[in-house]
Amino acid sequence: MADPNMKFLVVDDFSTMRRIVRNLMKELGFTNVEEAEDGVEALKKLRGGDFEFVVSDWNMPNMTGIELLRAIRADASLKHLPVLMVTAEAKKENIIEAAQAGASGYVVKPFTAATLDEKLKKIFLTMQK
Amino acid sequence: MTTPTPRKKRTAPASDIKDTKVEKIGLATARLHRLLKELGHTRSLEKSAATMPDARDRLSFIDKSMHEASEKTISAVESSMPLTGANRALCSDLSNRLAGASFKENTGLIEETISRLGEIAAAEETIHRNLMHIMEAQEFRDVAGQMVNKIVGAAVEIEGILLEILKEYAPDTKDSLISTEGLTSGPSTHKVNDSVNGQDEVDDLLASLGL
Repeated sequence: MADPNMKFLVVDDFSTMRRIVRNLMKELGFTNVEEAEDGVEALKKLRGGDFEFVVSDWNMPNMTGIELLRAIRADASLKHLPVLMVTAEAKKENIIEAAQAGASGYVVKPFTAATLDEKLKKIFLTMQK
Repeated sequence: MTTPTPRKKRTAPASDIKDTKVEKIGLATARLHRLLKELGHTRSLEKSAATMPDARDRLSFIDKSMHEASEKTISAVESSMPLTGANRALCSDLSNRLAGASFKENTGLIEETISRLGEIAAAEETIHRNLMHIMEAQEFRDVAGQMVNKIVGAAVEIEGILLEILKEYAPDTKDSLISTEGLTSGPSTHKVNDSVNGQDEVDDLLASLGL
């Protein structure tokens, strides 16, 4: 079981979505959740804080989720971070692009707490290996 | 790779050059024809361009309304969720204590209370699940919001194109349109002069009308 104090960063340009994801995380027992509204803010927060997990949207202004993912993987101090993409981009090419860029998981909106739970658990399992 | 074909310009026979010229004249004629036709349509173009800022406003209003409704819903859910948990804990605590206590009288009532507490706890569980569903459903805001934004973007673009055409072919109409509606302002947030904002303005307006 994952540490309930694990520190998450939820990245989405829609404040409503950030609230929803935060609440779903809470339902799953994770309350240590911070938010960022785009990739640029996310990178700044990630570099400044001891985050352990990133949940990111794809389609955002300034810096998209896939650009954020690439930036994380290219940064020696961040590249180990699990990144779960939670996005409305359901095209195969998007999913393939994310996988190739090193995404740890991919959830297509609309999703439920159950889906989020399942994907998180899967990523935790891989992390333990 | 094959050997590069020699450039047409240098090798083309005289007849080809003539053809190009004819083609150019043809294109220019077609363009002129189109322009003349468009000149006749400037009134409707002007009208179409003028409706765009209104369309943008309405879409922005939809977006704002969706946002506010979702936020209110989530706030209500957030403040209700802890109650369901607390109620379940309370029910289970009470029924445990009642079950552990010894009563000489009203044992039937005690038994019924314990059973009812169980039912209440189960109902709280259902309410909690439903609250989660209500929260998850607010996700429509994300995709619908993105769609509205795309349409707002399209409206801005169409407006720009229409105004460009107007600017070129009916120069006197564009100034008034651009100055009143704001060509580059994006989704408009200005208050519309011919409608009221809030009850105070309604009251003021009524008062100014002597009512």
